[in-house]
Amino acid sequence: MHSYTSNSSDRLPQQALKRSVLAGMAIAVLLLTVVELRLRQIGFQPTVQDSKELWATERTKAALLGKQALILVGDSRMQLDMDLDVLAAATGLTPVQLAIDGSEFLPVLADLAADDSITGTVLVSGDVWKLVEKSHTDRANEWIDFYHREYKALVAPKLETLLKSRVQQWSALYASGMPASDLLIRLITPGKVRPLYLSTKPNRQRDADYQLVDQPMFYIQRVLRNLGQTVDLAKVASQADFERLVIDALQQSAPTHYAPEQFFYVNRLTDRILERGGKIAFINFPMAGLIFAIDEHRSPREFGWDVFAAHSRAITFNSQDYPALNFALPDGSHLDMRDKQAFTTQLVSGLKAKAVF
Amino acid sequence: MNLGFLGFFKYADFLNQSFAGLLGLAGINYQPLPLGIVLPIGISFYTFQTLSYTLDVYQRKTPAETSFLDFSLFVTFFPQLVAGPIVRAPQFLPQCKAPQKATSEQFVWGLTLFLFGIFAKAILADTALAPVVDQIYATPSAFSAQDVWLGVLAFSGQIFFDFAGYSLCAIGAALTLGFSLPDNFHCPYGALGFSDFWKRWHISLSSWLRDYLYFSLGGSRGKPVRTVFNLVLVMILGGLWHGAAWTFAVWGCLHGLFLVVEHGIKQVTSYRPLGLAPKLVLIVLTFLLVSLTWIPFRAQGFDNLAAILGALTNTTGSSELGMLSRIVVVTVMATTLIWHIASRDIRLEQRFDSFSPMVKTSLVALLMVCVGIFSTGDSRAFIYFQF
Repeated sequence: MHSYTSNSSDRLPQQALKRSVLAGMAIAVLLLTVVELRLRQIGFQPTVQDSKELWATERTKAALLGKQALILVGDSRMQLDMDLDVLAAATGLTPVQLAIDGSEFLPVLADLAADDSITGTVLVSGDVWKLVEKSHTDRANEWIDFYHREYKALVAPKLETLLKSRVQQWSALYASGMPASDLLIRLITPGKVRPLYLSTKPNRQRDADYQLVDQPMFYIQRVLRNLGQTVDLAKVASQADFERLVIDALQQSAPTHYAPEQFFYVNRLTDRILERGGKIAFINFPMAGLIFAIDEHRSPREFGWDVFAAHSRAITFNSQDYPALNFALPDGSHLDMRDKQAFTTQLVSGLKAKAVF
Repeated sequence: MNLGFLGFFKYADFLNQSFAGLLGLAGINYQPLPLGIVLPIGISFYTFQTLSYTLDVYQRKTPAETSFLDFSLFVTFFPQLVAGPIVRAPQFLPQCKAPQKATSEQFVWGLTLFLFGIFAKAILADTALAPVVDQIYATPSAFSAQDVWLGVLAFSGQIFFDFAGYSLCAIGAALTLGFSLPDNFHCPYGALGFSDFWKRWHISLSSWLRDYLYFSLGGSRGKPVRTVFNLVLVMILGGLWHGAAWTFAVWGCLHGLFLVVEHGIKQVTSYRPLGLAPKLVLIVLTFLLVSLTWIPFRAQGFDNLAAILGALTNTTGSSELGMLSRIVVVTVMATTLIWHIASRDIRLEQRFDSFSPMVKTSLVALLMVCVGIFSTGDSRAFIYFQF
């Protein structure tokens, strides 16, 4: 056995080292270039992977910008429906996207309310059932915890996030966080080559291209996910059948009536931001079709949103009251990327009329 | 002073909590507030590095360094600062006496070692094995025994590829700058017994413990009881070096006990495996025992440790690993074992040299493509960064 003083780096391979290694590297670069070009040829584009690191970068920005910050809090609707460039141009503020897809957003609002450096304007997505305090923890809690414990005061994760998002912007191989192995399987499986419909920008704005999804299956799956109940699709022969089955399933549950005290917590958070001189508005984003029917059945506006709006010191804005915001929603819940500029422009007009800006 | 810093940053909270536990056994309720100490990254590594320098100078094995700049570079040399190898002053300081410039061969071999290390870490440890390990250790009782065993074997692979991968990256990065660092791993799963394992696993730490702790305690020169005490104590301290938790002490203690048993068998029987079959049996047995000792190392506390041990004989399980995961673990671990057995007496550069230029080229291309395509981009830190 060799002693600890031996150095592998003292003992170099003797045979054709440089030629073999450099040729191998050149071949690898060539192969990776071919895969990258092929991916782009069939429609894949580089996209940043949304992550807690990227969220923490934006959270840092929110704290630094002060009054200049326009902070967006919510879930996928806030992330997919808002065009940050339009927001910036129309308001003169700097948008900071803190919405988290598929999450509870009250923990984010609580984190902002507890941070004295947050003095700007906060726009919150207003799904009424998400405005009620819950005891369980959510992905949002994990991301907030990451920001405070592993990101805020450290340089290395900031540098790593910057470098990673640079690479992801440059290469389609990292498309939307899908493991590249899955991408390759898609590439070599006939009929499965379909670019991802979601893309993310470094500022965490997400775009949905619904021309890339299978309709009406995509819509049906979205409805079933929101419904949270099983429906026997074998019995479905037409769209009317599907709608009837969903409505029947929906009737099995009673609507929720909200009491003002259920919003005490969110109102307390609102007050803290207002007391610091900040502004805050809650927006109920548009919904359509069965998604709207499910939401309205479970949380009827007069017993939910209206109760909240009547007892909040924040500005409240319900899209249902604005026909100009009546855009097509391919999955009943989110805008196609082609409509988001026009939607954001209209929304800003509505918010300006309510003196948010 | 060196040990004082290490003791405060790494063990203050642990000792505080352990003291509270001890008082609890005596019926005294003492609940200390966590001290909230942030562990400086790599503190265990550079503490041992500077400690070895101090001891070497004190024992007049090496002259005191007169250049502050050279000494600073010795302590803070970035490739190995955070996770080793633990470098000794006589290995490194002489290299600081003249400006280092890598030859083109050194530069290319350094890049190659770096590529091997990245492949080991990003593909084998993080992409192939870590998801299986995380799944099994999170809810061991949900899986059947065969999947739990696969999870245990997968962690043997993960910890090796994670740490050996980092060491290769460090050695490679240093070589591209013209600096030589010592080997840290040499086919540990091809070891014939535990003493052989510790000559192949984390070599810079095990040799440090041997030279500065085991020999200082008297090594095996005293009575058998004293040798047993020395071995077990050194291994327990080696375990605690990894982390401030009793599970690490258990891991070290198990290794100490296996070393004692092996030592005893050698003393009593003078048995040395000579034929191929006995050697293979001993290698596989060592590998399995080492894999079992990794359980307390990986477990998140004693409850998790008990759950994993109990699940090793589970006859039922509501969850199961995917077939692809099983194939990946079996393939990676079988290949690793075969490679370690076949290369136990051959060095990496000799093995690389034994390939034809075509194979070398293909290997480098394959590894690079794998890293480019299959790495998930997850920011999973090196396991040994936490030590």
